[in-house]
Amino acid sequence: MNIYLTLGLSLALTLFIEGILTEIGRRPLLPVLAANLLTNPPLVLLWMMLGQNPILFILSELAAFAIEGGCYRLLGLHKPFRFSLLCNGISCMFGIILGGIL
Amino acid sequence: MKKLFILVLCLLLAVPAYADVAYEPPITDFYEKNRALCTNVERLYYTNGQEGYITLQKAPDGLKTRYITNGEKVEVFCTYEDWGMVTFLNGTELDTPGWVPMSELYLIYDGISFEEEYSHRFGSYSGTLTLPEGEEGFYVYEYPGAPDPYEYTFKEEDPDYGFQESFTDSEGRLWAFIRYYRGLRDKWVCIDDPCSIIQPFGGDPNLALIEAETPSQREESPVIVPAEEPPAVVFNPMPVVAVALVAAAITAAIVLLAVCYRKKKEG
Repeated sequence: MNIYLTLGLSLALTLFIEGILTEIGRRPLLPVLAANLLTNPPLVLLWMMLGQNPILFILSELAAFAIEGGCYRLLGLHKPFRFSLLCNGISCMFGIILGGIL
Repeated sequence: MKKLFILVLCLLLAVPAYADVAYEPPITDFYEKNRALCTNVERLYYTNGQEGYITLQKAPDGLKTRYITNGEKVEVFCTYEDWGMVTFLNGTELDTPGWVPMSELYLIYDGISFEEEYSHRFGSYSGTLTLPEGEEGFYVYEYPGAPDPYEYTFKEEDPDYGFQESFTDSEGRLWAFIRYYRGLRDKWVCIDDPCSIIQPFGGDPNLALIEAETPSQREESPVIVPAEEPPAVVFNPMPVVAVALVAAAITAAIVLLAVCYRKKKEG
């Protein structure tokens, strides 16, 4: 798949899923969207440029979890790291399924 | 329990059927879109990159996905223009096939090579196969004298094995060719000495040398470019526009996070 399409689809899917989870979890939407905008594009770009290695995929998911959790904590969201883990876990699962289909 | 038994039985029955099913590689974007333009190959090659390793790519001239050092055996499933799609590495199927220029692969001499080289000496054969007293199996070869022949159990009820062509080697031994017979496809049998392993005959002049050498010795082979350690991590040069877009996204994210942080401080 084209690099730009991958970047766009990945970001759109992440924002959509984590946006829904944010609404369900009754947390402010803007910090969640901003944190994902901070982590998703660079990590997806790095993953694509470095050979799409499965280990790199796991590392990038862990990095996303840590950075987003840190942002949420800084911004005073309730249970920041647990929320980050839940959001990243679910969006990662959808990403894997969608990646398999596409 | 009964259902489980039936399921197991069905799976067991499916095994011989599966053996005759043509191999289909994992479908990648490029292969799916260009399948009609690809030429089927399904032959083994040694990796032979000019840098001492080859670089697999997601598509011809696409993103790099992995490196393979020279001298490894890979199977090319098909070609597209001057590129080959590698599906197996040393007998293990790759999760994601990769593309490599065919100029970076060295064909391993096989039955097709033998046919191309010696078909002018082929004759017809309509005889049968007879084993010496007490023998129950015979060896089948990819081509006469090919390495790694394997033993096949003799079937007395049908000793002609659908033989078609024949070939007489330099030692005067008669070989017969089986196009297809009960799972045997494109195999040769030495009619005169079916129960012995015949030493390599003819074929690729470099074959015996390559096959006999260990990977480290192979580095000195006149055929394969010496292996070099590839970079530890695959690195693709980043497209400038993609980097600019990602940088813009990061900047926007930082601004948004700063706004949120200020709001939190004020609130």
